[in-house]
Amino acid sequence: MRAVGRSLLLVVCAMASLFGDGEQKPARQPNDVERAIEEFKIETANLGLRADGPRKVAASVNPLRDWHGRLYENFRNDSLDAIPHEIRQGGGNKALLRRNQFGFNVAGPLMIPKLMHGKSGTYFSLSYEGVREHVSRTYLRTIPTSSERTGDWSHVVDQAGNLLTIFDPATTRPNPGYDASKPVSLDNLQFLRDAFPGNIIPAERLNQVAQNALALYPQPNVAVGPFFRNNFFLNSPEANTANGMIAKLDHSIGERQRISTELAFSDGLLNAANWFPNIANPGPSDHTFGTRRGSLEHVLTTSSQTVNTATFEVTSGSSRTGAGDQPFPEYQFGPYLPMGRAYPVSKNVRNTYVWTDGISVRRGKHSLRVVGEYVHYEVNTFWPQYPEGFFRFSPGLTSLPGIVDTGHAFASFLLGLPEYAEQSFVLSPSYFRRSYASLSMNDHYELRKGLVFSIGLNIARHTPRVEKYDRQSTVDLQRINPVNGREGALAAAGQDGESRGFRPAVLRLEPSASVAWNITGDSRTVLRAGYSRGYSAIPMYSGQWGTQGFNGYETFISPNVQLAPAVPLAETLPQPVHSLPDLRPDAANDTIADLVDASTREPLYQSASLTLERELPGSMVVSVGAAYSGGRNLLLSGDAANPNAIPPAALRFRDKLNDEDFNRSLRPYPQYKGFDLYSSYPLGRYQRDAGFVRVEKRASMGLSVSAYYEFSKQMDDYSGPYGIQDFFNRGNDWSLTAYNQPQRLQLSYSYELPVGANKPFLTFSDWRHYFLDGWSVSGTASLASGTPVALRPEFNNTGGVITALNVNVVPGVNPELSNPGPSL
Amino acid sequence: MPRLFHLLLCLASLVASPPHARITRIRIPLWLETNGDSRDELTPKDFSATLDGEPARVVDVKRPEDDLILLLVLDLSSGDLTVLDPARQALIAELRKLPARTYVGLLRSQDGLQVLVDPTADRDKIVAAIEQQSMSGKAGLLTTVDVIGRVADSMLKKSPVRVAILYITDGDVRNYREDFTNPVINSSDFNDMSRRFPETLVQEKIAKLEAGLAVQQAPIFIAELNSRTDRLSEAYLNGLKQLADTTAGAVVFSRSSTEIADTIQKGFATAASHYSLTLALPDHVSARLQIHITVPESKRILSYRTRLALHPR
Repeated sequence: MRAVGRSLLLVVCAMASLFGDGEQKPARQPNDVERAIEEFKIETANLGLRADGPRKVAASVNPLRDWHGRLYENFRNDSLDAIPHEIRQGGGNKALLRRNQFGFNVAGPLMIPKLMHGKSGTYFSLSYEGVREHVSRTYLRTIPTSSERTGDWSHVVDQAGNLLTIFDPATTRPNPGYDASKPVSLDNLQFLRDAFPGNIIPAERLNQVAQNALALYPQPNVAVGPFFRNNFFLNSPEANTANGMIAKLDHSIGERQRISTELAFSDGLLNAANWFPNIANPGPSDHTFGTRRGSLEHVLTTSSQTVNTATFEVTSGSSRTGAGDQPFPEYQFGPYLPMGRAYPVSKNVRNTYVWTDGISVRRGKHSLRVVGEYVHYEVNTFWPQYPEGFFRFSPGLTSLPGIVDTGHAFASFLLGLPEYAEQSFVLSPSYFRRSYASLSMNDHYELRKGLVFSIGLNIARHTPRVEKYDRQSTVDLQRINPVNGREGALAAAGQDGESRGFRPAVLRLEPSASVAWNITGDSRTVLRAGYSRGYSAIPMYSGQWGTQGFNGYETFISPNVQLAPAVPLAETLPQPVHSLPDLRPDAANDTIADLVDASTREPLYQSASLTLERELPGSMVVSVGAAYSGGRNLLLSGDAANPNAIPPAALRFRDKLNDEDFNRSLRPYPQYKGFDLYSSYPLGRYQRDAGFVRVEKRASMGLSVSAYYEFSKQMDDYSGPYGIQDFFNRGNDWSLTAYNQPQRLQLSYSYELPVGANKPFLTFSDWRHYFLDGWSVSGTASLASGTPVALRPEFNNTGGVITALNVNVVPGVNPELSNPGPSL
Repeated sequence: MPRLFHLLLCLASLVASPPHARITRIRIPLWLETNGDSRDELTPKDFSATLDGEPARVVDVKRPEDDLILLLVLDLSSGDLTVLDPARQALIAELRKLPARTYVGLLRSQDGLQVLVDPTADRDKIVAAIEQQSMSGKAGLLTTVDVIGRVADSMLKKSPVRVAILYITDGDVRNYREDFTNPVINSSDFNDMSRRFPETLVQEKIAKLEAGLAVQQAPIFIAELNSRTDRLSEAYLNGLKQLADTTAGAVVFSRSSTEIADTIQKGFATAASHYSLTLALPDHVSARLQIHITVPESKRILSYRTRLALHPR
């Protein structure tokens, strides 16, 4: 094409000289520069790179010539797998693996026959990807033996191999010889209870609802052991199907404006591995996913000193489980595999609308940027936990009261005696909304060559979560509860003086500043320093937390898990006394109530850093620096924050704390068992200090390396790891972060093997280059020191006052471990 | 008669153009560090060269003081004025400093390669074009570097003048029309392992371009003004260095806006300071040449292109 073009030009030149006016002029020989420039003009004209040249002609020859793309298939299949020797020895075979991930991408000038000819300045990109996957999931679990299901426990042993005795709860009676001053033991029983004769539960005592459910429960299929355990092996296929597409379009309007748009969708279906082939399946539900995204961007360059960028973006993500599944309650009788599952049906949608406009202006040595942003968040969620009921069974009711290794949860199930039952009543989905608006200004000021300051201020407004129909609630900690006259009562959004979001919208100022300074006057050495401070809004999660009263859950709790069931096992649970919506101030009493924080606190983060960068010979850059980051009002869950905790001073009451009524009376809000904070309570604090060295070597001789070493220390008052000990004095829990890793080294490297095209060895032009060109070795490595050792006592007799007990330092024993290895 | 002869010559060239004309001479860019050697005028006789171990005659030497055609390619697509304005000012300053015998051609590669000004010694014309340019759009370096390389190669073959390419870029690898990011399309595909190495696509593109640039003889220089440190950008920047290294050019990186002026200055200085050696090819050499050049009886340190492919694959 190029050769033809050039020759045509020469022909034209020659024709012009042949049929010209014939006037002979003395021709000056072009010099070297002129010849080169002439060649430049010819070549660029032939390539269609000149506005004054034959660009259109060249382009019209083949409008598809600028299209490019790729077609791909990522293939994984068990035919490529080896069989592990232990599987082969056991006569086993490979697990199922069929995975095809395929797709294409094509991009270029947009061309639509008879509409667009590909030269209108509009470009597109289209990507598609599909996934078809079948993978087997294997599990080894323990389920009841055939004999146990019929009530015959004569062969059942405990973990030590001793006979596990099943006691008849119908024979429970007080022990007249009980000595309350001594601990309960086999010699000092508080209650007497007879074992079933022969350790067999009579058939007529078996609960009919339990028996009906067991018709859906599988029989053991292996005998791995020990003691009849690990008797159910499952090899179930899981299928994953997904289709997605991303389409992009951009169009230039003259030199000054550009519009681009992006549309994307993805639909996925995860057919989860079934544990049981029926409605009692305790495994996860099938899950459908969907994402949609659309964006539009407009860039306007009004002058070389002013650029305006406006964007609008909408994203939507949905997930759905259990559609079409038949209802079934959950029966839990650990350690055996349960029946049914929590959250059997759910539907969640998250929509986000973002509008942004940013304008950049250069004035003298100042580069100013002003950005306005508005974001609207929506979460539509329907997520009932136990719509068909939940029954938990424990060994207590079939045990000898007070004696361990007696009784069994499954035996309690056979008798229909749950220790706890619950049913969720969710009448409608929740439609949560919140918004974020901000105006940020940044000035990039070049004081002099090699010294640049940047100062910014972001003004942000966060609104609290509201529900579209005001169907949300909280416990108002100032309101008086009519039942006990104490503070704390249920409050509904928009009613009785409550605001729609329970907390006010807040305005935040978020400053930032940085400086970059070439301290030696050249660009080889740069000193950087920066500081920023910002807030994050309390997010909205999927789930219907904070809707108590509009939705409800009825709970049934055993008054004593060893003596009385919560409720007899039946097809249905007793219905609530009060119908929903139940917005009485005391409607949440005796529950773990949902508590929305009503303060203006929000997570606050600060960071500062100082870095010195030095460019060294050999394309190497070394950076040395220190960084600080800290935060307060971090969002916590119930194990790290508890507004209804009992003060540690109450430990003086000792065994009396085991009395539920007395225990509750010590709480600040005794009408509630506790508060569900849903990981949204702003109270945590942390600080991290770090020093680091980074070495980057750009590719030379085919080798590029990047190394990063950091020494850090992070402290906080919430990470536990088992929760915190003193909710009333958080300073006592200020300690090393549970995941603090003081030393960390990361390496990444890439080396182009010296073979193939343009390399010193094995350079071929024939078919062999397909095999030898383009080989490289690359990898990453990460080394880190361990996290702190966390110790907690196995025995906790604080009556629930302290849920996460720390161990005490023993006088004379050095808590520092000389050899903190796995052998400990 | 002369006109008829001219026409016949044209027709002959049209008919007899072979697919790969035999190459008899090659051009090698070379840099010299003085290292105590005070001689400033080196002639072809001062150099000794071998190609694939065979002695090769040095036909011509063009020095930094000789004519240079610099093809200045703007790939400024970010729209970030904190980068663009210092870049614009630095460019204008460097253009004003260039020797009179340097001719600058101005092109734009964002949103497709386009000639803005043909090579000229008129600095005002180039400066005016730079000031008028809008500096946003889609990055274009990876999609245009081989094209401009071919143009420069043709110029080198037509004329013994020095020719160099200098890209001024702030392009982000994510801002190309061709998608090098390999984005996640199906977020519900939790077993996707294909995106664990996100840099694969850009590395493949670089490898293809490298193979193309291996046959081109004009050095390519890149002043990269907006270095990013994420994994994908690192692969992109390393790729730019590989491309420049292939042609014996160089990349200069700017890690912050304080370094932009220095980065552009280095780009111009390195491009302008190269020697261009013309070597005659011996009769029997491979298609992938190994080049060795020395300056006997001199303490000067040489850096030059050591490999060149004679024909595209």
